[in-house]
Order: sequence, then C-alpha cells, then structure tokens
Amino acid sequence: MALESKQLNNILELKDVNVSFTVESSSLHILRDVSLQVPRGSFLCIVGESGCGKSVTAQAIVQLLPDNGRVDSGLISYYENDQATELNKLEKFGREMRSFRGAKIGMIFQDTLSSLNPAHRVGRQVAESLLQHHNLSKDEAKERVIELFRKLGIPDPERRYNAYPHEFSGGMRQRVMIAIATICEPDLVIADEPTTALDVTIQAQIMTLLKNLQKSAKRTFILITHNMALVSEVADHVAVMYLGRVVEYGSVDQVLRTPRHPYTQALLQSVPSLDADKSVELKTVDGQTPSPAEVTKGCEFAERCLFATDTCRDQIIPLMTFQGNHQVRCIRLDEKGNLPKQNKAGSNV
Amino acid sequence: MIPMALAISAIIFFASRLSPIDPLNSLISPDAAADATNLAILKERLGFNDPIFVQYFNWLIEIFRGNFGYSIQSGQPISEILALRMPATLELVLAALIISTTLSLLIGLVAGANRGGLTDKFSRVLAAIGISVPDFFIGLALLNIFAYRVSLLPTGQRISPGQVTFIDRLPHLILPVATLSIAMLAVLIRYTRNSVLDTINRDFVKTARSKGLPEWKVMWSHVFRNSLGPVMVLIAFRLPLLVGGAVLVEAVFQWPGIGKTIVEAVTVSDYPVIMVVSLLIAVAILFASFLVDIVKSILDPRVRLGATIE
Repeated sequence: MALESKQLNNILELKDVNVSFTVESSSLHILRDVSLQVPRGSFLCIVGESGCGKSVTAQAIVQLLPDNGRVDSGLISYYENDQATELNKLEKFGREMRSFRGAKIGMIFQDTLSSLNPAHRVGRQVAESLLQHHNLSKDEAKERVIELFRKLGIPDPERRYNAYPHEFSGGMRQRVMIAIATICEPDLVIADEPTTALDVTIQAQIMTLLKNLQKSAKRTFILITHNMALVSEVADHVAVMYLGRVVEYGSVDQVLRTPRHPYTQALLQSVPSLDADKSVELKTVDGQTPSPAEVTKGCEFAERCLFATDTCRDQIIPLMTFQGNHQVRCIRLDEKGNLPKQNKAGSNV
Repeated sequence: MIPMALAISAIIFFASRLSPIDPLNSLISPDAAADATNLAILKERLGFNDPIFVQYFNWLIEIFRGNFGYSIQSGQPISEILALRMPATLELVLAALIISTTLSLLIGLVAGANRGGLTDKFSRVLAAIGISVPDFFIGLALLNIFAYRVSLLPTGQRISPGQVTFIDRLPHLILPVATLSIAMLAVLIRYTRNSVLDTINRDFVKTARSKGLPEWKVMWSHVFRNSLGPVMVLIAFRLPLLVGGAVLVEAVFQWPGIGKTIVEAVTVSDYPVIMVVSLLIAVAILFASFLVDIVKSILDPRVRLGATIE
C-alpha cells in the first residue's frame, strides 16, 4: 500500500478504535473512537485519571487485552519502510503478531514484582526475548543481556544475571523490565506507568534512562502516566484521555501551555506547584467520573464541565483541529480555539 | 519434626491407656482369668505395674531399638506383620499415585490452558463424580461390573493360588488401583486446572506474551511451572497413604495391606498393633510435610530453606 507523506512520519496510528469488555454477560464500551498519531522518534505521553482507558489503549495496540476485552472496530496501523500493517487484523497469538511483540514493539509494565516471573532468573527472562527473535546461541544471548544490564546501570551484571526478581530492589527490577522491552531494539516502546510504584528519586533515574534510550536510538516512546510533572519533562506530544476518549492531543507546548479542553485545563489546575500561593486552595474537578456504563452519546465531561450546554450532552462531539495539528474534542471552542468567558455564575475558570 | 513425632507418640500411648477395654483379657484364657493372682502375675511380668511414664519410655526406647512389640491377637512380632503387609500397600498406593498424578497433571494442564474446551468439560464431569461419590462405592460398582457381571477380573485378594510372577498377579491390581486413582484424580485435576487458570491471569504471563513468545512456550515455561507448586503440595500430602494404606479400598477388595491390618487390629482391640501403625502413619505425614517444603523450595526460589521470606 502506497503511503502518503504524512503517514510516513508516523510509526503508529490509531483510527476510531473501539474496545469493549464483557463483564457479567453485559458489554462495557471502554475505548470510544480513539484516534492517535504517534510521530516516529517522538515521545508521546498519554495522560488521564485512573480508568480512563490509558492502559487499555496500550494493551489494544499489542493485542494483549484481557480475555474478556476485544477491539470492536477501528484501525491500528504500524508503519515501517513504506509498509502499513493493520495490527488489529492480525491473529492474536499468530506468528505475524508475535513478530511485532518484543521485536518491534517493546512493553514495560508498572508492577515489576508481579510482571517478572518469580521462578525464573532475571537474565533468562531477558534472554528469552532475544532468543525468540534472533538466531543466537545461549552464550551470545547472555553476553548481549549482560552488556545491556551494564548499560542500564545494573551493578555487577554478570552475577546479577543469575539472580531472581525478588532479590532485586524495585528500581533494579524496573531496569530489568526495561531490558526485556529493549533487548531486541524495537522501534517503539510502550511504557505503562513505569515509575508509579517507585520512590521519587528512583523515578527520576528511570525517567532519565528512558529519555536517553529514546534519544540515543531515535526510538519512539509511548508513556502512559498520570503524573503531569513527568509529562512536562519528557514529552514531545501529549494525548489527554477522559473516560475512553482522547479529549485533547497536541505537542507538549500546545497541551500544557495552551490547554483548550475544559478537562485538560481543570487537570492542569489541580497540579500542585512549589511557588503557588499556599493560601489559595488547590483546584479540584467537581463531581465524580461517571462509570463507563453510564456514558451517553454526548460529551462525557459535560456533567462536570463549567461550559457545558444542552447541545454538549445530546450531540456527538467531533474532534476539532486547530493550528499546528492541535486536536480538541469540544464544541464550545470558537474558531481560534478559545472557550467562552464564563458560563456558570460564580465560577472562575 | 522430631519434637512433633515425640509429642504424637505420647498422645498415641496415653490415649491407648485411656481405653476402658483391658487388652490383658484377650491375652489370657477365661479360666485362668478367674483366678485374680494369674492376672496379677501377668501384669507384673508385662510391666503394667510400673509408673505409666516409665512404661511410655520403655515402649519408646524399644521402638527406637527396632522392637515394635507383639500382636496380642496372634502373638506375631509387629515388625513381621509390617514386613508382610507393607509391600501390598506400597504396590497398591504407589501404582495409584503414579497413575493419578500423571493423568491428572496432563488433563488438568490441558483443561486449564483451554478453558471451556472439551477436556475442561470432561474434567469437570470426572471431578464431580470423583469428589461426590465415596471411593468404596466406586470400588463396589467396579467390582459389580468387571468382576461379577463380566467376570473379567478377580474380585479381590492380592494373589490367586498358583500365581507366582508379577504379571500373573497384575489382574488383581487393576480394580483396586482404578478405584484409588479415580478418587485421587478428581481432586488433583480440579486443583491443577484451577492453579493453571490462576497463573494465566498473572502479570508475568502478559510480560511473557509481550516478548512475542509462542503460546506453547508461554504455557510451558511460564504458566505450567508456576502452577505446579500448589499441586505438588497436594500430591505430597497423599504420600502417607503409602504407609497407612487406603483403608476403605483395601477393605472392599480384601487387599492384605496396612489399611486392612489396622481395621482388623481395631476390631479385636489389638493395642500394640494399633499404636505402632498409628505412629508410623503420623511419622509418614510429618515426613510428607517436610518433603512439601523441599519441593516448594525447588519450584519457587523465594522459598529457600533457612532463608527469610520477604
């Protein structure tokens, strides 16, 4: 398939992806028309609160959704040398899909203690991926793993190769996870909240490591997080998700400096900062996140939004594109992408 | 383990002394018992007049020296009875253990890996039968069909007259082993299957899949190995059967093993035999739980002997 020049810049594109989960014989619509472009060599952050579908998006890309989840419609396209592959059309555990996992798309998971097999030595768990995709002897694989361990800052890698996961600290385990994800030098790495379970100082080390891995190899990273401070440090592009939809997408400057969507604005205002006036109470987003089962066809955020009108609730909200491919899912914006002054009395957003 | 065994030996000894039945009565003829002096002489000679703690330590010391005492009923040395009955029990239980372990691991692993598949459904039916129907009933049913109605196999005993080699005796083994295996299979299959299902949903299986491993490899080196721990524990706890015998199955098939020995001993209040066999079974159970720890430490590096568990 011939590709347009715009697509060549992207390594991955999601177009109107819908994912649902079967829970107690009823179907829950978890991802709704999720569209994302992941530019090659960039660092994309997907942010949003718990349960917004960030992790599900990651799992859908590599077809590792839990047994009760499935992609209902949409396209997940992976671009490589003028070639597009529709990942969600491939058989879940088929040879072709497996040739993407590990080799072209690496995955880093959050909870390192449960994500590593407690019964296997860590070295073997890393080498396993290498041996699957490359024709190497066990000794050669071991050498490569030890080399990567050294590069990732795991002390005494020859000895640590034979250690078990429980003998490592959380930060070291996360380095092992990173080794698993990157040993085959994949073009795309998806990290699902890789630092959430770690101490703040270790978090910084791991993030620096990830950023260096991305820059040095011109690799593409997708980082899933709810930590806004992290996003501002590492991201090139940001996608904000709310209740299974991407509500805002753009470069890090666009989203963090000039947020358009009311939810993004509220989210950024709820981040505490050191030089803020401590006498002013930190803003929170009023109301509760509705359950995915209660979602209506209009804007999901309407019930909590200060700018919402009746049209917001009744109408399907299209994704609007503003200058510089800044995409926002909100109909209350004018042509320049500004929200109306104030809507509800007494509120000042 | 050793303090535990000593404690159990004490319980067995003192409990047997609490019994209202005086075993001496079966040692002596009613005529002789009419004269109380005869009884008193016998009591003195057998040491029953010593303080009870002295009796206990004498019994224990004799057991450590390999002298298990004599059966009141037959006068045979108990070690001789054990030597005669133990091989029969070992043969029966070992065969059943091997067959049921192999089969249940196979069926359980396949059933767990293909949840809702044909093997899974079959295993569910088999498990329901095996758990709800008592094993002596299965034994009787098998006897009725294969020995009585079809006359394919012998109805019981370990050996028929004129049979010498193991192959000759093999038909005797089939029904009791089948009965015992079905009972063990049911629990083991369920356990294996559930353990596999448990492991499949663990995070590290997702990690294994994210490496692009083929499913059989994910199952084999990540799911199965990690599911075996709890199953091994269950199997190890069946090992005492090797010493204690399967009481009901041995009774149904007239199998001359330890299980049958203890039933016979209880019916005639043969205390020395009851005490020694109970002690043996208890020690076997203790040893099995020790084995469980070893097996666990092999399968799961987090459980290492002497190491602290986080």
